[in-house]
Amino acid sequence: MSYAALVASVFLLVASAVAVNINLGNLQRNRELVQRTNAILRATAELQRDVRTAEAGQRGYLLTADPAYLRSYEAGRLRAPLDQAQIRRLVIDREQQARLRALDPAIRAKLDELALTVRLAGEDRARALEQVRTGAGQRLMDDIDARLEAFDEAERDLLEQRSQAEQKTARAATHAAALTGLLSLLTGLIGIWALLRQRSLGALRVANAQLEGKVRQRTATLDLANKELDAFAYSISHDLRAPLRAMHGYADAVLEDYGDRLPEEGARYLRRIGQAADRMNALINDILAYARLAREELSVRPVDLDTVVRRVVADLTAHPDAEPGSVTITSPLGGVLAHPAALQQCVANLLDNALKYVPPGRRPEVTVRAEPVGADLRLWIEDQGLGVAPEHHGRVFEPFERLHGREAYPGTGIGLAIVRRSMERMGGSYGVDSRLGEGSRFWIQLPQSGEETSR
Amino acid sequence: MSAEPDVLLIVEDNPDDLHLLLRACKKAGVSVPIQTAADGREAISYLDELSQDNPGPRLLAVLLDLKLPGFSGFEVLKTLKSRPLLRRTPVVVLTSSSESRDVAQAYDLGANSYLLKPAQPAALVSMMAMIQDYWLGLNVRP
Repeated sequence: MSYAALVASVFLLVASAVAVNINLGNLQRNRELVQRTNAILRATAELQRDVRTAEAGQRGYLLTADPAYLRSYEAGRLRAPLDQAQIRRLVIDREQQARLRALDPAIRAKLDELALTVRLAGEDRARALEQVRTGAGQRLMDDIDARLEAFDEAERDLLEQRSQAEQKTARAATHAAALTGLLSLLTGLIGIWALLRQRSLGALRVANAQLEGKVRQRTATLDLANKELDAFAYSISHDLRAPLRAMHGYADAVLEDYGDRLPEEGARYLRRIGQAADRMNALINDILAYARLAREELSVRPVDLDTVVRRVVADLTAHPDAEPGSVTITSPLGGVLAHPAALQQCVANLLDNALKYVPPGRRPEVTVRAEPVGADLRLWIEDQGLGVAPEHHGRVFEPFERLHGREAYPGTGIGLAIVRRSMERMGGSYGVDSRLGEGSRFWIQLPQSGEETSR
Repeated sequence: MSAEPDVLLIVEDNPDDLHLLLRACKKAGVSVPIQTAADGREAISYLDELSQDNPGPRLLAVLLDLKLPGFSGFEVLKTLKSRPLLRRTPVVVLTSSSESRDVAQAYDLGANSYLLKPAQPAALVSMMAMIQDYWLGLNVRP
């Protein structure tokens, strides 16, 4: 594309140069024409003057018989043929040449008449004057004047015609030169643009290839980091739990085997060791779950919310330490697109919180309902509990953020962070609507599934 | 029938875990003789002994930890399932790893059961009681 345009540009440039050259040739020819015409006109004027000079000399000699006049006569007579030759050399037009040929006998006749009268004057002045009086010489001169005038007129016309024609060609050549020049400029610009574009495309391809290489490299690095993280998580899950089992196990063993010999305070300390081990175990579980959410692919499929919520409620109430409370489910909740295990974990964390954060002595009451929001379904988990002050609404979804003391409300501080990360990974959203002391309304939102849902 | 009594093999490298497991066995009333191995190599050499075709103790079941120094639990499992005389012996994996790939790999290699080590001692005792009732009692052995 770029080379074709550049070749076209060069071709047009050559055409433009040719047109300019034609134009310059025209100008030159025009100037030559003018010069030639001027030279012809000068030569005809010269011829006329020389013939008149010869006639004036003849007249002077006839009147005065003074031979000095013969010098003028001779000069005019001798120069006239030279003038004629000069004119013949200059004239190229056929019609003008014909006129010139017609002029020759008139000049010759006039010069003969002059020669005759001068010769007669030398012999017999009266006869010579007689001859002049016939008026033949005057008529011949008038004839010459008329012919010369016609000739000059024709020459001027010719110049006019020729220069008009030349001007016409010159105009056409100028237009052609301008047009081809402009086109040449245009195609040249197109060519240059295309060339630059080709180059920048090439540069872009190179940059792309480099970028792809970098991405591959980074991906490889990330894969390696992920594998290391996997190994680390595996190690944590195994190695950190072993000493915890030992702590809890031996504490319980002491309680069971030697409990009757321990003071009540000692027994309480042993129980607290066991509880601390349990908390740490829960913390490790949550950290691992949270970390796993970051690296594992959460593929979504249709999930029935009723099934998930009922399963979670059953699990929570089956726990020996479960708070006695009521969970009201507004069925049917509907179906969403989610990763079943991640969704169940989120619902469990939200329900666990709703049942946990109530003022001491109050029986928790939780409502679970669903509401369509556009193409999504929003699941509300509402409690009558402690509530969250609006300034903490963002903080509660951060890991390890706790708003309440661990003693009164046990927990790892990761539950809502898991909800947040799960929702982000599944393409959903989450939020809370609450005021301090007025209960909390937590929600999660996911795309609605069709009719078919998995149970 | 062999002269020696049938045994339960426990493969566990962590001495605390082993101690508490044996204590839980006692509390749960596990009455069969128990053979222990502290790592994969020891477990494999014991299995090699058993697979010699001479009258010796019969293996009732194996309680197998996965993360072991040297030969891993998976390698022990592989070895056991490759021995013609032992490959039908029930293997109960008892580990702290809940990684799905570990679970899958264990079953792929022929494990008969996969249990997570309970965090609480009371749960460990009840789990051992269940193992006693099911794998050593109810379950029909080859």
